[in-house]
Amino acid sequence: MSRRPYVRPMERTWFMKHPAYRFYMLRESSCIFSLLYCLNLLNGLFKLANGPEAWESWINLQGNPLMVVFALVTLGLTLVHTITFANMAPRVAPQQVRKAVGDMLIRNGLLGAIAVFNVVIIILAAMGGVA
Amino acid sequence: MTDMTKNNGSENQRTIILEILRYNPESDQEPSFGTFEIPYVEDWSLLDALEYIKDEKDSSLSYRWSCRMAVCGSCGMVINGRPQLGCETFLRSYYPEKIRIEPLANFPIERDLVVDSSDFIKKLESVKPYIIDAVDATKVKPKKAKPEKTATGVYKQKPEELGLFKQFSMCINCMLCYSACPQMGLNPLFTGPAALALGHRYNLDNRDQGSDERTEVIQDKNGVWSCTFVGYCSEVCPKSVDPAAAINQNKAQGAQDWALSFLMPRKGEKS
Repeated sequence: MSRRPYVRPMERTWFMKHPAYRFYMLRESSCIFSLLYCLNLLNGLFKLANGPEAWESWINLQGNPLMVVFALVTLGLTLVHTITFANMAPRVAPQQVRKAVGDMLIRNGLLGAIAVFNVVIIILAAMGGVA
Repeated sequence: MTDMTKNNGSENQRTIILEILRYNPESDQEPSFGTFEIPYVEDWSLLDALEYIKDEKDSSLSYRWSCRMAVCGSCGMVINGRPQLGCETFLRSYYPEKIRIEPLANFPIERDLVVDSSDFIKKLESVKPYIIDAVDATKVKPKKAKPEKTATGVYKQKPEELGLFKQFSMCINCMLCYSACPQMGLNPLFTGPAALALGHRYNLDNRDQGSDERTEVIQDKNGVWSCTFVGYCSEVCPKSVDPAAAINQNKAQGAQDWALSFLMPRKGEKS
């Protein structure tokens, strides 16, 4: 009897085959939207440097319904990214640290720090708006 | 008394359908699904069902099994798309739906549900999964302080030192994590979750001095750096080993060592 092992080919659409893979792709796709949103913000910074008219046109562009949808999608994916990042962080921490501190403290500490950072940014932005 | 004996001979005996991916290397060009209708018995595991098919329906059905209690790691298979052990998966979790059974993904199929695991064994060996004592590792000076020995010459190990790696030592080599990992399918050279977790287990052991000898395999581009933290390997692990954590702890360690190599090219030694 001769051996003839059969190797199944990996399909190009493998990531659609399983919920775990689909969620993985969703998580990873968040970086594309984050990058695009950062480019948008960078563009805004250049427009600001180019004078009030350029700045005004950029501000108006942000009100475009398509840009609002883009911002909302980016916000949603960024939240997915943040939560999955915090969930995974304790598992990446050195085993010695992990055993000493505990997974929940690492996870919640990270989420807490991100929340505080966001509140500070929002307060600063609000103060800037008033001024 | 089981349902099986209760219902024997009665016309309305409950049945369940199993679709099994079959491959006979002597006659088939490629695998195809075979369908079996078997009695539904509430306390049957999938392994019991396969045994029934082999005994009563088709004696040529091939599959691996041994302990029936999730210890030996032989009966790994893909059940309705999820890598699982046949012995701890029960018909009642699926009844009355049909169950689709395939061999582990990312391995060559030898016959029916039997896969060729020789590449996995080579990868396991490549991480040197045994304690390398400083006496043996003559090339490098010990990284860790050597633990105390008892009067009989055995190294002492405190419970917290054991606790550091115990989780990673629970692996039963069932290869479910290899089947769950898409990177394994995309890059068959990837050392893979179980082998890397085992290497990590020995690196964390206070009796071991061999981490430098494992670095070449663990920090290779086909080592931990082929992992993209899909994380499904840890989800399917029947022993909660969490190989994804082991791999990604090594990435963090590798990045730190890389950065330190610029600051301390001689690794803190004087000459």
